[in-house]
Amino acid sequence: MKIAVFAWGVVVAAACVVLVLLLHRGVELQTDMTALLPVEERDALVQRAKQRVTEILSERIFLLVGDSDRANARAGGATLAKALADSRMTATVTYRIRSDSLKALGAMYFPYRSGFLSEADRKRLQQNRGGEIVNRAIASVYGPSSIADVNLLRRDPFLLMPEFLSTLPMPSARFAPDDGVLSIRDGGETWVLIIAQLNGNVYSGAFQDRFIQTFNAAERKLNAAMPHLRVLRVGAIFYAHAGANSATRETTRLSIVSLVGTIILILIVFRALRPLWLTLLAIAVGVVCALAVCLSIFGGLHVAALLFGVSLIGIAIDYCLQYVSARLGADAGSPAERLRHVLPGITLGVVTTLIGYATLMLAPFPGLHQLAVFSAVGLFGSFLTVVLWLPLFDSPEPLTHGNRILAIANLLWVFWKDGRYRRLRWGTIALIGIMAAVGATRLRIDDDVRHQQALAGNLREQESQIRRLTGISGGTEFLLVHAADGDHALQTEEALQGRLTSATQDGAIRGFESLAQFVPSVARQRENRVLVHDKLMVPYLASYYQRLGITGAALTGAQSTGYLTPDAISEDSPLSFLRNLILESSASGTMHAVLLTGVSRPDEIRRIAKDFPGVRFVDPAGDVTRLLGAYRRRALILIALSALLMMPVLIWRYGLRGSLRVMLAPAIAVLAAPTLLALAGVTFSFFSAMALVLVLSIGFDYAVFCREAEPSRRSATMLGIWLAMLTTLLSFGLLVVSSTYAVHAFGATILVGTILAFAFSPIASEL
Amino acid sequence: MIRSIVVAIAIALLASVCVGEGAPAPTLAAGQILHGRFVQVRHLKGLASPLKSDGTFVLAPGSGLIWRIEDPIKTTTVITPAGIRQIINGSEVQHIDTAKAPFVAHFYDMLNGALMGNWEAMRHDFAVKTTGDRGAWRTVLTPRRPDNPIAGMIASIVINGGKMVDGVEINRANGDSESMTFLDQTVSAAALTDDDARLLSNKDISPAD
Repeated sequence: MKIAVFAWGVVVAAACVVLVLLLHRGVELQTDMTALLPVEERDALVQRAKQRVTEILSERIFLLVGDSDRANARAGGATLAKALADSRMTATVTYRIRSDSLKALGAMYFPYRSGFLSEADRKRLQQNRGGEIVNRAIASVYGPSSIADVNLLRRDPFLLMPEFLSTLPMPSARFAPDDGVLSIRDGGETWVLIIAQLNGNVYSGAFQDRFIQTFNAAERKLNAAMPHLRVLRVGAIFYAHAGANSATRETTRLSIVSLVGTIILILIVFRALRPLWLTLLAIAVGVVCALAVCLSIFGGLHVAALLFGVSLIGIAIDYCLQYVSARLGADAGSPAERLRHVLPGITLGVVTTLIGYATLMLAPFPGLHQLAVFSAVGLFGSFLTVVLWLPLFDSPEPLTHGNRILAIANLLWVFWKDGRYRRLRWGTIALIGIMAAVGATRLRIDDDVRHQQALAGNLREQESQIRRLTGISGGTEFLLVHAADGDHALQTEEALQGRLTSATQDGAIRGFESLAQFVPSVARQRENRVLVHDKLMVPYLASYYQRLGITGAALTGAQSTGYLTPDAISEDSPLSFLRNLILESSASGTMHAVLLTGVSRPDEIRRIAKDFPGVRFVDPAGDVTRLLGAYRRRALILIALSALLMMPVLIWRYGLRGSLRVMLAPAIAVLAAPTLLALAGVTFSFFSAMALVLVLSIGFDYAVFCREAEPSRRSATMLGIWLAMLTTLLSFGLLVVSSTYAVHAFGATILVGTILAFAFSPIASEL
Repeated sequence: MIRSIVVAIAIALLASVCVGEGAPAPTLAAGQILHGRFVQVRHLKGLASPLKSDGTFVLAPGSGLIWRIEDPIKTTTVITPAGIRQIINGSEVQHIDTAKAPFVAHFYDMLNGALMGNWEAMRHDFAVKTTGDRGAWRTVLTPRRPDNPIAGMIASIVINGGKMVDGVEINRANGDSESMTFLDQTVSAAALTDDDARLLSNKDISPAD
């Protein structure tokens, strides 16, 4: 025994040294939440493309600065745009637009003009209704709004170009350029638009903090000067920061409540702080071992795995509490004797819990792998500390003040074993059974990731206001178009266009944005030229010119014989936003994105995508939702599996009948917790399932403790279970107040599950 | 491109009712409607003979303008807060929605403002100079900033009238020019005809057109 104590000392010391060395070298804590998601896409090209679009979409922010005074709105917009540009955290800031942007647009298209037709004009020519175009041209030339001069009429006789340009689906179509700034007037209010592309990872905490600080400082300064100025914002970074902020605030508050509550609990029961130090020692050793092992294996650690892992190691507190509770009572004996009393119970508890944690390895979330290793190593380290070290540091004197507390703790046992309470027992079981059965009919599964996070209400309001004013919305869905080369990609987009247009009319999507809407494929341009020549110029041009009195032929010679391709869109073009839609263009193929907004029926879009080879629908939120669904099912299987894996150990110790008794309380807890919560309207998700993994481990611990309790030490065991239950509620159950739905559901499941596991634990004993 | 079109319309419109500074021409009150005939002669450089058109117009403050060319090609252009539509032989050949081109609405606001005697929006882009007296006056608009794309296409606009606006001359920067003469103008408080009301309410186009 002494050797083991010493050897464990050497191991812990070595872990400390390793940890110090690793920390000295510098350890990177990953904070990017997306790193927790599994790498599910095998195709590297597709994966890269998806990541790029997601990045582009998440790094984009839209701001509207508004005031009833136009000058104020403009001054505010200019100041904010400058602050953003000066922040060094933006790749581009678009505020002032080129005054000649229309001219630039015209200059790009004009040399290739007969290749471009508006959708309606193309249809007219295809249906031999060129006469309508001629009449429109004549009406335009004579009409009140004519801008045509002879120069234009010679180059673009039927004014097809203005028609094409006016039907381009410009994303900022609702804005009017007002003195070089895109503006909207709404009621008495003038709004100016700023679009910025950030240059950092919007999910990194450090970048969020820096950016939001800069942004808020700029906004405060503006509001000090112009109190009525309003700034509306939409962008992933604002949501991410608000979410992280509220999580941090919550975590801090909950940790304090949890810590203070635990200290008070220990003081009340033991009237001494030594049990607290012992407990902390065991947990600390566990965490040190876990960190050293994890950092050596993974080279880093995700902050979520760290936080959650520390909580899981926290279950080791159950074993400490079993041990320190053994000190209460006159017949407690020496520290070594106390350990002997609790050793079988806590050993079995650790074994079953380790089985439970190890099954986490089977889920393909990278974060869960870290978590599984972290919690298993830590738990085992804490356990060894309890067994090997705690008796050494413990006081040899039994605590004799606790008879009343022990008696109270024992009441639960009395309730389950005393004949007087037979009816009450069955009544309780029946009541919970009925409630669980009713709840089961109301159990609703909800994997939607958008429901799992708390989106700050005021940001959502701003987003819907921006959508109302501008039509701009922060969609994350898109279509990937994969083709052999750029022109084939454009042709696919052209084929898609009709289907997407009718999907827009049906309300399946609010809109879409594709490269081909602005730059048709060479094939389409060639087709248009033929149409224009055969169906318009040949039959109508001569008489049309004669009618207007234009002598001579059209100046078609001024036209380029080439075709417009997307490369012509320069970085300072008003269409530069289209450059982002080209994701990949190499010998191995071309990849374009077609952005979708307001997708309300994703299945319909998925069906459309299926009809076109090389097109796939990408719905990041939907992917995560489906993933959460898959992992929820997997987690449930893992729970059943880990229960099954624990059985051999239990059967070896208690026989089949005994092990079934031991299993009863955890089984009730796992089955009834979600159904009882369903009565309160809590939906079931992956996070609830993860909570059930914990509930199962906790439930087995309590049941095993009860089963192993010697009759003479039973009240001390019950006290240990009481304390374990209360500390679990203080650390996990408190999460029920979280504003993040996933965390709330997790906490609620632990809360109800732990209480159930606790309440039914004495059933495990046949005594 | 569209914007230039709209500018031209707005200017023509403003001119046709003319409420120039110091100009004694009456502004229209809500519910009043201006009917009239127009003759337009457009001189395009490079054309041997000018393009001449004539027809009728209806202007209803708050609702919009209907510009009917009768010769040489029957065309109806309707400008309302909802957008601009061009109708030939009963079928719509052009439709610019305000929702897609909100500056249409912006200029419509400007027009309405002018009708109510508010020239602020106009003054932003043009210098306004009026000479003459109530009986015969002349207003000249010149762009304040020739680099402004809105006003840049226009060299000058000359409006003359007496009790009513009699004529408008628009000189373009490229040397083209056009003159509009307004005849038989009447201001009435009577309701719009069904056809006109339908056109201005942006409902289906009139089959009789």
